[in-house]
Amino acid sequence: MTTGPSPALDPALVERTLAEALATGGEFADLFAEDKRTTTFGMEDNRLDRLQLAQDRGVGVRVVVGSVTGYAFADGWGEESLLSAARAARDVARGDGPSGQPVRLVAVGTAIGDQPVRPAERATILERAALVERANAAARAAGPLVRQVTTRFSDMVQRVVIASSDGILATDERRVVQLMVAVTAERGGVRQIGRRARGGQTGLELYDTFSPEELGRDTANGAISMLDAVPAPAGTMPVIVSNGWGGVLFHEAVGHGLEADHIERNSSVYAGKLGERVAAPIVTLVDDATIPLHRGSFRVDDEGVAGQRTPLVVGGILEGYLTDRKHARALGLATSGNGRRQSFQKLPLPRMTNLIVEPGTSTPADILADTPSGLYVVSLGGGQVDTTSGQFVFSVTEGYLIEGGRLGAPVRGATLAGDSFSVLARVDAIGDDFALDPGLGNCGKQGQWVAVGVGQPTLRVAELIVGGTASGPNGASGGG
Amino acid sequence: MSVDQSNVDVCADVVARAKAAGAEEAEAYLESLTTRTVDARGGALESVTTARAHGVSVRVLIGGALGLASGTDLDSSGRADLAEQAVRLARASAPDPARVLPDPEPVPSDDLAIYDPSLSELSLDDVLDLLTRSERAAFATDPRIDAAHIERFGQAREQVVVVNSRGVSASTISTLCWLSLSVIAREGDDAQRGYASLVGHGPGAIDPDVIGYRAARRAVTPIGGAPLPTRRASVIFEPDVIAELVRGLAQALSGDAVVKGRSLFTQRADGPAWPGRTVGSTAVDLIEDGALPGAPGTLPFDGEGVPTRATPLIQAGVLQGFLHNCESARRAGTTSTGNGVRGSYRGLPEVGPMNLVLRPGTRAPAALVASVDEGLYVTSTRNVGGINPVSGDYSVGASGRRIVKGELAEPVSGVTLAAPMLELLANVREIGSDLRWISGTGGYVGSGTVLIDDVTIGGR
Repeated sequence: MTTGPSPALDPALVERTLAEALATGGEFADLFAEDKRTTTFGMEDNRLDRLQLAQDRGVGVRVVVGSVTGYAFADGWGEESLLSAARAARDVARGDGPSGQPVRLVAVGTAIGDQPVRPAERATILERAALVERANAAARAAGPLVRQVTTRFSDMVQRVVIASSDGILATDERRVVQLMVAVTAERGGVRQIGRRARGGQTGLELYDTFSPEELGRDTANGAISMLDAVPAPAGTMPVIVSNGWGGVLFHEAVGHGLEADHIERNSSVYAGKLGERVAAPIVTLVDDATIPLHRGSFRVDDEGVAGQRTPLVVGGILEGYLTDRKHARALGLATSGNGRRQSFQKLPLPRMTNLIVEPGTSTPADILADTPSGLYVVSLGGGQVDTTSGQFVFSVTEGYLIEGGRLGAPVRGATLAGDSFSVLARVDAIGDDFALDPGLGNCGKQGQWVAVGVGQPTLRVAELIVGGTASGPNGASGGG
Repeated sequence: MSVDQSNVDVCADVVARAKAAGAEEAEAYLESLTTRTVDARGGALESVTTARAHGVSVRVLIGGALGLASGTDLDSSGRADLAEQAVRLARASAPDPARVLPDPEPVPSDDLAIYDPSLSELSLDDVLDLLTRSERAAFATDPRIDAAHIERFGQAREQVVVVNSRGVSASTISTLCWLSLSVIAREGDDAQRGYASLVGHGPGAIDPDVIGYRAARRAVTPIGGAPLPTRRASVIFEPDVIAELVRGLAQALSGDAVVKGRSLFTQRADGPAWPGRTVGSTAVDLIEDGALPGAPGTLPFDGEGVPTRATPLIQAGVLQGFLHNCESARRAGTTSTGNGVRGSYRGLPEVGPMNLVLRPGTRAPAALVASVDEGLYVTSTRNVGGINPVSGDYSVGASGRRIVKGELAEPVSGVTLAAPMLELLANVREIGSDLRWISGTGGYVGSGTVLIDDVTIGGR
């Protein structure tokens, strides 16, 4: 399928819109125009029968006066949409500043470097549909225990124009692909579901390296192995988190608390702690929007600020927060290029990009051998944190008992719980096997979803609360 | 209330264009929305977001093969483009005889009480006043409330239109508003956040004092809390907490999930049929009712234009049936229950609930607490995909108060709760009389406080 003509937005109209937005004395105004096309191919019951195309085009205009923000959005990129949004936004935020100041925009380079080799939206429908069919066939070939296979491929191309009254004009194109497989396996009335995905800001070339067959087979085998799962232990125990997607533990447990809106509202355990020790000395955490082609990366954020690599915790010491323009200004910090939004319908918030735990020196094999008992976590289903108390929880989608320094039976129904400070303080071994996640992460905050990445080596937390239905290695069960 | 006929005409035109482009059957679904969201703190406005937005999707069938395209460009060329794109996708899609569009059914003309004209008269000052009152009510509840974290009021007026080539032409206008408050409680080094919200079709449903009180109570409850030792005990769930479990259960009661093997209620080759089987204690009555007057999820018809209705799911612990849209009903050899729900105009009508009601009991929550000798009273949980409609596992993080000899005792935090969902249902001892509506992703839930015996609490 071809995409429509790339929409153009006349810079003179953008300048006029911003001037209009400031016409009642606003101090700052910006505009976010978005044109997004998402095509989805879904297969279930062996039928490729969910083909969908969504086209969203719209613009949002923000006007700031003191601590008050007016925001309005409208469908389309037409003159009427832009100007009506500007007027609606300024109606809320009226100020005493000089009105009618002209705005002169200067295009900032977005250095369009790492671009997909084979942009998905230019491929035929059949070529993209084949990815879904190949993954489905491989998953079903894993054996008769496979009861259902759902596969989905989606490709998105988002064109943005971002401009602000301080003169920034940024344009960019972002492309994201994702292939997802979910397999339900069943044996003797026990049913388990396994889900995996592979994606990134790439084109279809990604699936030359990571084949749909491999994804389908691995997902099916994962679901089948979970049929032998024993109830998860309950209690406090050492937890090893394997490399790659396991980094989402730190995204939740720590990363959210470093977002500047929580700092400004004093709703984070990390507020006022810059320069203090917040983790074991072996822990270094970085937010990195510059990893080529990875899911959480970008050249400019949704406020026109260049994507950056931001050290957060270095050698256990808290060194930085993640800011958008509003909260950088409020806190007197530099903008770290973390202003992100779900769509033109939303105001930006400080958000993570790719959250990275830097590698250490242990080998993953040694870390396991050195752990007499506990839980070995391969995949987490996502998590949630209360940044104010620092308490977080995760569901474990693939995990194994550790028995005598070796992997034991898979476990079902486990959760991990802890608090931000404890988990960072209790990291007592970090592996040398750093890996990025396979490109599947989405993060929700205040109802806004954005794509994120994580990366980490295999590491061990000396003690976490594991929730399950069986008694734990420490034997705590009932009574007391 | 007046229905904007021009949006019905837009849909009819899209259907006609899709037919002209080669569709055998076509359906247009449109949403047109006016919305305002207000954030404030400490009596001062922080931000106001306003918009008028609309979008339409067209679903076409060619020989049972489906294509769907959506967009916001509703002028003549935009409509033509959508129709053509949908036809193009359908031509690449596999045929499936279960893909059908509904025939027209009369939509009952009862007043569903989903439109409140007074909502549009609410001024910005009125909204700021509601937000400020909710914050004050929180501060008045407990001296440990330190700050408001987020105060948000949202309101929307929305027209929904469904037109299809089989004669369905349905349109409705509804209003909705909600107020949510998150506050921070502090004592010593401990800080906790508490959240509460109310939702309804008009400002009358929003009592800022109730929101402030509930948010404050949920914030202060876990202050100074510690994990309990790992044990099995009786657990009392507040309505907001049990709502998550009910939604997980509803996912498993989706006729689509059942027929496609993605539900714990999927028929096993060697097992008895699920409907008619006992899946919970006699205290458990679960009903889905998309036509319940005044309930927050109520609409006269679903996302494919099928009239909404009451569907019993569990009665006195016995499973009665499943939720269906037209497609899952066709696969299961039954009829739609009016549960084809669209998350937005962009998507297909998926099987989902609109208003799920766990029938309340007769006693107040305090009586439930008094009946527990040793246990946990849960005021908030963190669910992170630990409610699994396929395996039936329930596993969440929780905080609240310990119950000792029928009274609330010391605060508890950092524990986990885990049990198979069906075991939880079987162990429901009593449901409180305090029915309230809880909003969240995956449908509105109406429930009271629930007492469940023999739940595994994971702690120290």
